[in-house]
Amino acid sequence: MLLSRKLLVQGIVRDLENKSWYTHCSPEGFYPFAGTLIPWLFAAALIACSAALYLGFFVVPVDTRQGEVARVLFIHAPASWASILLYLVTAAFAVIGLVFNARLPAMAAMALAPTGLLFAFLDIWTGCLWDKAVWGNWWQWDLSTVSELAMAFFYMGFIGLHTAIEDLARANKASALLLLVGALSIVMDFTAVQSVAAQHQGMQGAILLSTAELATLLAMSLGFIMYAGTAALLRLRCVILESERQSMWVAPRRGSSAP
Amino acid sequence: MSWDHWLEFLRMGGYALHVWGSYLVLPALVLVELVLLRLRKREILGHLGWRRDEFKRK
Repeated sequence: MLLSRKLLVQGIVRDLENKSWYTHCSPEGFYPFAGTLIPWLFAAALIACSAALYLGFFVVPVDTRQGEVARVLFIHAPASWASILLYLVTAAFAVIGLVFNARLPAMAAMALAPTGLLFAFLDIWTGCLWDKAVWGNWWQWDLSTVSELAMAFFYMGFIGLHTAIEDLARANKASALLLLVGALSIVMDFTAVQSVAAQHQGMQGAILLSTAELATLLAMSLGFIMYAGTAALLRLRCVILESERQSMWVAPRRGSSAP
Repeated sequence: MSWDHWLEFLRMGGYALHVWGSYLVLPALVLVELVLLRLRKREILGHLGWRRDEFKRK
């Protein structure tokens, strides 16, 4: 998967020769740029997550109240933050695409959403396991959990709606609107969560986190965001190829059979 | 934190199911996502008539 060093240097030199960053704002210009970024982002994600795992399992001491199960925090909270951040970024891209009638931001929203859904699922899954260990039941109807579930539904709604409408311009408009409504709901939900923070177990001890625990959370969050970037760029390259198949730079050449 | 024995590390103080059930699902999801993306890329490139190495230069 990693590009050879020669190809990488060539890519960077070519990017510098282009000089103007506006080149990257068109799907055609962004495609090779994304290809240059992907291996670096993935390597950074692996390093950050490995560091977080080392810190979380070998540096942070056992939790005095909950025992070893408290280590679930180091995957649960970063997954939650990553899913919220990715939702807001997805919604921002969709709205930018809608307002400026631009192709690339709308494609970026479609590329980000499935990875956001992955992190929302990871958050809910780890939350269920943690609830089972501490409270004895798999599901707890507390505000934070339900907000996360609602966000997962908005992700699914966005992806489903965009896929269901064949006309691309209409699909972009309708799904951007859904994302925007969802964003308002999510911002409100998590504001409410802050005001009743004591309900949700992770937040009770939020102020009491040690330096090692904070470092673990930070490293894991960075790793998740880097991975989300990797997956989103990989998907964006697919989306670009799929939607630009009629244009000259993608179309088959050298006598190969037409699609 | 130092674990006295690797079995103790695997036991996670009796919470092995909850801790490893949380941590192992991440690489599983990542693997599935990357494989799906690879298949999608292969399909579209095949559809366009490009070979993978040929398109890399673009």
